[in-house]
Formats: sequence, C-alpha cells, structure tokens
Amino acid sequence: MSSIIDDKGNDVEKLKIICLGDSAVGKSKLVERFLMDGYKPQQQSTYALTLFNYETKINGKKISVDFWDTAGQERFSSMHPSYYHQAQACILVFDATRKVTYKNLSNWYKELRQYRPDIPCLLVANKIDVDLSVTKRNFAFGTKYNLPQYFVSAANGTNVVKVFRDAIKAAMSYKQNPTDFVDQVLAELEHFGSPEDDLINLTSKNDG
Amino acid sequence: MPSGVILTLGEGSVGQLGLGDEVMTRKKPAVVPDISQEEIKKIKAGGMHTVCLTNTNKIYTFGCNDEFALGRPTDDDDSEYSPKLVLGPVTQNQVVHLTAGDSHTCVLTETGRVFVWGSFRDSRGRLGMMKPKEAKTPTELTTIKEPVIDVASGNDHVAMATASGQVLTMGCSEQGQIGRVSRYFNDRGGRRTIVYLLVPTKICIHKVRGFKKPKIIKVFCSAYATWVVSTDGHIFGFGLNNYKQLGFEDGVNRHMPEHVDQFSDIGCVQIAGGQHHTLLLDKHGSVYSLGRGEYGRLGHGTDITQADEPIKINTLQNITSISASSAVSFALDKDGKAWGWGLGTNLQLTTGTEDDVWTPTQLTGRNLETRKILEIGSGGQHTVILAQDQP
Repeated sequence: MSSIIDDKGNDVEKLKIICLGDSAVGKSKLVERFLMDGYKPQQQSTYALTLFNYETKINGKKISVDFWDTAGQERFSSMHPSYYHQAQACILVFDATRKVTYKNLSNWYKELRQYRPDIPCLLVANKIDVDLSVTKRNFAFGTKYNLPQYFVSAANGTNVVKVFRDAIKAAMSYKQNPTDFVDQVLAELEHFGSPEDDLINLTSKNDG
Repeated sequence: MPSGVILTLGEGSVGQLGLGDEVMTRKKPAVVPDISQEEIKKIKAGGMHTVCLTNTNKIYTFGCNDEFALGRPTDDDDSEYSPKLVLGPVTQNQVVHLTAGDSHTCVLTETGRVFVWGSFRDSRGRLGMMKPKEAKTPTELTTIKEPVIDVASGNDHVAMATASGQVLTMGCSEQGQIGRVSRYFNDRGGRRTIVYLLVPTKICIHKVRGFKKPKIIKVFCSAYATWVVSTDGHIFGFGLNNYKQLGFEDGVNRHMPEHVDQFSDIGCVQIAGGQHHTLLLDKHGSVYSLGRGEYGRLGHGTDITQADEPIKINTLQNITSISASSAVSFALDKDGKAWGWGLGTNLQLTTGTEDDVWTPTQLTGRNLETRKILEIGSGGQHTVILAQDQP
C-alpha cells in the first residue's frame, strides 16, 4: 500500500478506504453515486468484496484510492481480517429510516477497532431522502465515540461527495501520521527496497 | 403465574428502554415507570424493541417501530419511547408465549393460535410478513390448520411446532435458518418467489436410525439458526454455522435439518444463541457454550476464543433458564439470581463499564437488591429484566 509510480513517471499515493455496515443500508449505492461517471469495479464477488478505484489530486499530489465494499460478506455478521488490513479510513453506514441497522454499529465498530485501532471512521446515516425528519434525531452512537456524522442520500446525492472527500482527506492525513504499530513498521519498510520486498516481508511476518 | 415489574438497561437510543425520550443509556437496571403498577408475567427483548404481557392479558410494546415491530401506530414521535398498548383481536385471546426478532413480534395463544406483526429483513432489506410488505398490526397466521404448541424467533425468522409434531418455518433463508430452502434457491426463494419464504410451511425431518419418525415438541432459535427437539430427545439443527455454533464441527451452514449429535448427547432442555455463539442448558441445571468466543460471550475466560464443541461453564449451577443475543449471554438460577457475560460495549451486563466480561458475573443494581429475577430478555443493545418484589 505504498506510493507507486504511474506510467507517466508521477508519484501516486495509494489509499485504501473500507465501507462497513449491515446489508441493505446502501453502501454500494453510496460508492456508485460518488463515482457516478466512469467508475471501475475491479473485482466482482469472487473474493467476497468489490473494489472501486478512484483517482484524484490533493494539493497537486496524485492519489489513487481503492474503495472496498463488502459484496454480501456482511450477511454473516463478520468480515475476514484481510478486509481491514492496511485500511486508512472507514465509512460506517446505517439506514436512518430502518434503525434496526443501527443495532449492529457497535459490533462493526468493535471489530474495526480490533484490527485498526486508530484509523479515522466516518459515520453515515443514509436514505435521508425518504424521511428528512430523521436529521433532527440525535444518534447517540456518533457522539459516544466522537465520530464525524453525516446525513446523506445516495438516491438524490445529498452530502455524498462531502463524505467521500472528507474520507479521502482523513485517510491521507492518517497515512502521513500513522499511530498504529503495524503502519509504523510498514512506513519504515517503505524506505527499503521495492513494494515487492514489502510483500515478501509481510508474508514472512504473517507466517511467523 | 408469578408476576413482577419490568426493568431495563443498556443502550436505548430508539426507545427500547421505555424510559422516555430523555434516557438514551442506562448502566444499571431501571424500573420502567409507566407500567410499574402493572403485574407483568412475560417479557421479551427484540433486536431494537421490547414486548411485555400482563396478568390481565395486556400487551405493551416500545422501541423501534420503523418496520412496525411494535404492532401499534406511533405517529407521535415520542410514543416509541414509552410503553403503549397493542390493540385489536389478539387481545381477546389468552396469550401464553411471546417471541421477538429484529423487526418482528410473535405471540402464541392458549388455544394454539399465532399472531405476528412487523417484518422480516434479508440482505436486500425488507422481506415482508406473510406478504411482501410489513404487517402493521397483529395479524393471525390463518393458514395453519392445527394448534401450535411452541414458537421461537430468530433475528428474521420464526419456527413453530404444532400439536401433531410438525415444524413450520417462515422468514429469511439466507443462512439456512428456515430449514426448507436449498442454498441455490435461498435468494428470495429463487424462482419460487418471496411468498414461498413468507408463508408458514412444513419442514422435512428425517428419522434417526432405529427410531420412529420424530415428533417435535420444542423449537429454539438463535439469531440465524434453529433447533427442534423431538419426543425422543433428538435435536435437529439448521442455519448459520460459520463459527461452529450450530453444533457441527465442519463449519458448514445447514439448509436442511440435520441431527446434532453433540446437543442430543447433552440432553438440552433449552437452547439460546446470539449471532455466532450458542448456549445449552441441561436437565441438571448446567450450562454449556460453543461457537465464537471473542469479547467473552462463551464465559470460559480469555483463553478460549473459539469452542468447536459444547464446553461446560463450571461456575454456573442450578440454572433454570438461559438467554443470549448478538454477543452477550445470560443465565438465571433457581433462587432468582442472574449472571451475564460477553460484549460490554452496550452496557447490557450491569457492570457499569464498557469492558467485556469473560466469565459469568452476577447482575447487580440497587433495583435488584430486594427483588427476585423471573426472566431475562436479551436484546440487540439492551437487556430487559422481569423481577418480583421479595417480601
């Protein structure tokens, strides 16, 4: 997950942002809405995830973001650890009009923190187009864990771009100042050798 | 039948504590004030709502009503946060049993009739109740032609045993929990349409070698699984098994009923479970647990984070009932004392902190000191306690 050199010789920063939340809260719809034009799903359900790549620039620096979406694995209420691996930000989604999807937020958050103790997490209440009055409700979960909270609609686009732009910025700043031990190790490894060497190091580390 | 007052604790942001719209969290059990004068005989915690039944056959509900799990109108926003009565024909029947899932509620009457309300959900969202839409008020399952003797609810499914020993199921089939839809058809019933999932339909249970065709007398559900018990004491299971919580060590889900050797050998009188773990109660009052152990839900301490087969919890004795949900577990003993363990995040265990609890720890609180606990309801983020004043 280091920076790579693109075919024009520019330095491109790679980011990984994961989406979490119950089934049918509109996670995929959110990503698709954000990427509306020319999005490129790279893998279909084969690996129980869908990966969307998005390229942008922040302060003149080229950024390549992989958005990971769960493709139904969440229906077993648990994600494979690799889903969380090296993610730099998380977008945690529930359906504001079906608050039963709010029930599992604490479980998702607990699992996220088990693997990624410090990455930025953004809380998203989706489907506010169905009932705008939900935006008046105070959802205690976000306040309790001090998470930035967004009321969005994948259907009409309200706040969608804002969430994703904020997530990318948060992921970028986390990558530059990681507080997680594994990230520090990886950041150090980046100073040695090529990305392939990193992979080898990682593999042998996991084997141990 | 003994009766008492209802107490609640845990997270209550959608009204499931019944303490009004000012109280969103409660660390210790609080008496639900609006119905503190009622004599309550049964309680049940759904995923995000609470149901209780009084000695005079009144049904009160509170909590999330987005999919009509309360069975009553909540046009006034605050009416989700306080107990209010369910009305209609269901109240003219003597209710003997309540069950609740994530977004549905179900009651069994003395004469074996079943009423349901709310909706089931699957990975695509709303599935419906009997029809591909919600049941907004209590609706009788009229297609069942004989009396029902037992009912259980999972997160999004219902299982019933009938007087003749048959099992009927309805609801989401994605993890195999209704035991009659092969994995190739479980995406909303495949070509057979949604109604095939939603109408109570008989499941087929094969007999155990050397025994007659099984006659089922009890049904139990965890979040995504079902077990049924025959008159011979055989236990058959189906549903999610990703942490071996169903009782099969291969970790493969079952979409059709299969005999669970591990459970029949123990001779379970009760089975309860959350998302990824299962509790068993045997006739001697001992409790066993199996499945995923993270966050302490198995009750065996921090060393055991996965149990492929039932392991006895040695500290618990004389237990008379068990309950579980999500990643928490509870046991109640013959003296009316109760123990809880598991995920601490939602403050469901009376410890007052968010720390996980890895071994059974007695439920405490000022409001429990002079009371004997009769029943515990384990919800998605909250706990409901039925307790009787001690003379």
